[in-house]
Amino acid sequence: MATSYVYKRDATRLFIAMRDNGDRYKIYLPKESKPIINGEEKDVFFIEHKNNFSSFSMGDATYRCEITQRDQHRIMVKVNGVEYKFSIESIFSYLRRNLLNKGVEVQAGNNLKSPMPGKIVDIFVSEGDLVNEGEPVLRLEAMKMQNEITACCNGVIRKIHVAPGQSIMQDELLVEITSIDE
Amino acid sequence: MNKRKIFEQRRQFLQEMEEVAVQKQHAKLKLTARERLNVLFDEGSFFELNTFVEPAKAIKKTQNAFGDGVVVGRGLIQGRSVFAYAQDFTVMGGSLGFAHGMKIAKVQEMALKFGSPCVGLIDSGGARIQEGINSLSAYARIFRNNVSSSGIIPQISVILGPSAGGAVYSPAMTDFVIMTNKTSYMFVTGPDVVKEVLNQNISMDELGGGNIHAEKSGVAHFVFEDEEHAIIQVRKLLAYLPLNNFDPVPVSMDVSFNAERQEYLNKIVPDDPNRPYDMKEIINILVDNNTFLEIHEKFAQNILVGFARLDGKTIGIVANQPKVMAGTLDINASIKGARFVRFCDSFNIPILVLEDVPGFMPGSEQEHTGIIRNGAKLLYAFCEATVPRVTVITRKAYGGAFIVMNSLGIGGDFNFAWPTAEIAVMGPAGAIKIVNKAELAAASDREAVEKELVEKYKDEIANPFKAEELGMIDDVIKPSKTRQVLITAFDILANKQYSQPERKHGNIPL
Amino acid sequence: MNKKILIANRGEIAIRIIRSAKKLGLTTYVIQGNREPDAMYLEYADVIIPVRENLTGSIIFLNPEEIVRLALEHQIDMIHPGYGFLSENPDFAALCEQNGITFIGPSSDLIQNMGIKTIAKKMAAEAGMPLVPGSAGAITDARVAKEFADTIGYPVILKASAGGGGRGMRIVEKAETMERHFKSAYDEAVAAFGNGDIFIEKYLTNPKHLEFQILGDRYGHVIHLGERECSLQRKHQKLIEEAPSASIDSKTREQMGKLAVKFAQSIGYYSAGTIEFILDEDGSYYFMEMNTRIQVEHPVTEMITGVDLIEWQIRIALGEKLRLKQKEIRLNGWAIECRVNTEDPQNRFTPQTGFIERVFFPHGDHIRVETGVKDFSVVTPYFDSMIAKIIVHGENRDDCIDKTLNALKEFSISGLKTTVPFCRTVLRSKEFREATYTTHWIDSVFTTDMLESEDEAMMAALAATITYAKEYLQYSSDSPMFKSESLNVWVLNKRINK
Repeated sequence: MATSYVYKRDATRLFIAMRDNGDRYKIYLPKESKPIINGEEKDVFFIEHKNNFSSFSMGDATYRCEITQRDQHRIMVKVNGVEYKFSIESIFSYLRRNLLNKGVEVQAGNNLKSPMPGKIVDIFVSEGDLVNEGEPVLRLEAMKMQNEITACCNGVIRKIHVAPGQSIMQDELLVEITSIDE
Repeated sequence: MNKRKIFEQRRQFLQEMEEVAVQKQHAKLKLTARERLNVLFDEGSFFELNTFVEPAKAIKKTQNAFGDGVVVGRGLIQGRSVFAYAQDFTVMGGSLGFAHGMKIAKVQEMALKFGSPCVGLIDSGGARIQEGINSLSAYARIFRNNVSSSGIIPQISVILGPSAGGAVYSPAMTDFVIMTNKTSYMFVTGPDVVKEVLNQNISMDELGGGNIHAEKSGVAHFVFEDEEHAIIQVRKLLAYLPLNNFDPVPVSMDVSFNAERQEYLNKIVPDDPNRPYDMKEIINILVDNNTFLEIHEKFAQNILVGFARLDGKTIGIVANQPKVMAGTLDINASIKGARFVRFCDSFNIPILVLEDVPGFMPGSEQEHTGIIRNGAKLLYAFCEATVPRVTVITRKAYGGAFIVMNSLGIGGDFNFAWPTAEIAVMGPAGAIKIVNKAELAAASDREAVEKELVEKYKDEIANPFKAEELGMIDDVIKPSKTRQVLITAFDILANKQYSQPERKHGNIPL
Repeated sequence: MNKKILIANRGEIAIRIIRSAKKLGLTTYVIQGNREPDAMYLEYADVIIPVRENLTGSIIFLNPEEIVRLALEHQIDMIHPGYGFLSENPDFAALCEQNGITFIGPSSDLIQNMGIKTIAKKMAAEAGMPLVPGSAGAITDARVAKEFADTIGYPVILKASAGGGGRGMRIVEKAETMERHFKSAYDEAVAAFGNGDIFIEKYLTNPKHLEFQILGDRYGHVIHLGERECSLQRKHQKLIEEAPSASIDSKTREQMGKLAVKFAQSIGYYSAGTIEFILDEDGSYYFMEMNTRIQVEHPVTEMITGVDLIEWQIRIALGEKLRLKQKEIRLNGWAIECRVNTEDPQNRFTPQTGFIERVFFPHGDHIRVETGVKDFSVVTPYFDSMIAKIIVHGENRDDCIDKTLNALKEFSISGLKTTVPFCRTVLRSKEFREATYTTHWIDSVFTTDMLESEDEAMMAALAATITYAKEYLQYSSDSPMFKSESLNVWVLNKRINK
């Protein structure tokens, strides 16, 4: 797996922070590296969390954020005297709501189809995993050549329709991904 | 019958059922029964029981009905053993048939046998009509188990869908009820029958939706916007509670508190006795950081109840809220407080009372609806409780309400007061009108004399230092030192053991 | 000097006056009312006079008789009224004079005359001041109003003669609406001031507000100390002031200054005072009014001239000669003042009351802070919402703006919201940097999302998410959450063997 991919597997660490004015921040909190905000890794240092204040530094600037209000998933934060109101969703609840808003029944998703007949050699992901656009998802062998099938978008693996060792035809549905891109 | 194939077959059936369930539930912004249990329990800790029980009465095999519409088993919540059942609305509408009911009864009985909490995730259309009275007898067994376990293991119900008719009685008897707004309902008689019998048009939500029960009836202790938060609340709640009534309360490793803000307590109570302040701010400063879990937040907001941690240990808090109705006690507040005190007493959770109460709410509405009976419930609950109970009087403590809010006389272990406290039979304004009636009548400048007398009353009679000298309270403490005093007090009382005289049970006014 | 001075005011200005009074060796007295028993200004005075107020009655600072009574009781020699409250109340000044107490300000006659706009304008015109084309006297009739408006040309503005603050004021764009607007202005003026006299002026659509600071002694010597620009206003309340102004050149400054001094001398003015001008888009200036008190924004003038205005006010009141000559007054560098009000700029500047938990003011060589609050101070609804002023000096205007932005960044307060983010937004704006802003900036340009910054919003989102995630994530942590403790044997025994 190439190290340029930002999202690691664990989809439970992806959250969406939304504001009333429509701004959305997709924030991924990996265990041991920097947070990824809207697809970009941000050079943020976490300084401390004391009482209701969280301090970060990014570049030369330090930001002291005060959590002023908290009601379930609605959180209000004050930075430099200005308050910002957020509604935080986990990726799962976000996708659930988003699907309904789009008015499309659950079948919507991005489908990875097989480009040629062949045999599944290896599957690199499991259902529920978070994948990056362009990341290899499975390998299939065809005409003695190994082909990597990559993810079409950033998203969560919704369903894997095949298994290693399985023979497949051209255009056969391999994997369904629910996109997290707008 | 090829036995080897059956395992494979079953696995496939389960997978298919789950896929169908996911589609149906997600379309309604809900989770499936198994997804809910995954949110509830620590990852991978759920051990399912009786997965493949078939419905008692044979139904047409148009769908797989393995499990008979309910998933039951045991899992770990933060490493502690908990039993749960989750009804599955996608299987025959989650209706309770005999097998379904027996599965639930089984986990309840196991929970009781093994001293573990029991959590119910309710999402059911009610009794299964096809099975007739058999389903009712299953309900009866469930209700009986609720009562046998009451006060021995914590029981929590999370209503995530409809819960109607007789089915509502099980959650009603559990310790805590959590509902979701707009997607869960509780009522004894549904809107259709209401329309038929009373000709009243009312929607399910208006009749028994989450907000109605959280604000009006007090049936729901918590209400959430979505399911995940509702289920996670169970985890949060259990983190404060012992597993059973013999188990000691869990002690957290994190004992951080806001040392800087303790000074602020010296200024919170306004000089003007008629100006309100928010008691929640005081609670949040006294307890360990961010540990106050408020219960029944939207019901009877003139009293606050909830759990918190003091130096890592769970305590129950009952506090008047001067910001709402001046903190007077009314029927709903008395009931809210009484139930909470009795829960803490059942599970050996010490109680902290923060008092600022001018009295009981007057008026014919209260009197005719039984403030007498219901106020007595709170008094009875405190008198009955044998857990350590400490009171801190922040401002007003008048008359009967002073006695009721855990005074020394009814068995409170310690009563502390802040210098801003006013402890008396009656407030100064009312008292001087009675005691100094003659003087006031004779006065030329009545207002000035009244002001003078009020000041005198405050200095000589309602003065907490006087109350201390007379032994009515234990100590007048500086507000910024309260936290320290309370930690010491509860430490002293840690091994308090006291039992009431033998009897079957008392007769609390109901 | 062993004289006693009573400061009949509160908050930051009381502390400011005490500072200058102490420099002159005076004994300082202040009043403590029960609306603010723990106020910070009390800590600075030599003697505190406690007063028991009726919380539903009037504030002590608005009660002339009571203040004079207390002054006599304590043998006070002089009273400084500060700004606001009774500082421009001619009856109060007269009461002091009658009782042999020196009132630090001009005479009650001067206060009275300058307090009535029509009289002030008449006297100004006589001294050669240009006036906004308008009615010489009061107008009580809509028809006359229309006729007059036709001569000076629309748009015009109707103003109440007896008062200000926006009441009794109406802008009339065209003749057809005159009758309606006149009636409503008249009614409002009667309700607010008891006097329905209206005067009409030409309405300047994009004006700038400049004011000249003057100082005069009782011997007729008057000087001016340059101007201040106060065009950043919200509902006629000033928010940011600067000295000098970028809207006039030195030649105009000399002209206006000379006119201001001439006018003050012509009416025999003494003490500190401010002459307000209004500037039209074409650069022409007109006399507006004269304020006969020390003003909130006086520090910017002090920063660029090095003169202690309040000290001179006291000296002049004691009969000293003003030893400063006009040619000695130099304007050095630039100064900007930001008022810190406890108002929420994200919510239509709604005033906030409550506790200030922690407040941290910027400091530095070129920074001056005047404040009446500290940690745990209470902001009550009884008084003005201004808790502090942050004044910054720079070598030139650009430098000053940069230094002010840095100073504001250092400011922090928890417990209440303030207008500081708003001041930062203004100072960052193109209109301010280019000095093209006018009194209408807030209404026409400002929107609440200008207060936000992209980076700050992102950090806020991160903080919110981490707070939420901590609870939501079910990862197993290495450190256990609970300590293991077993039940005390005594307790166990008791529970089992009931």
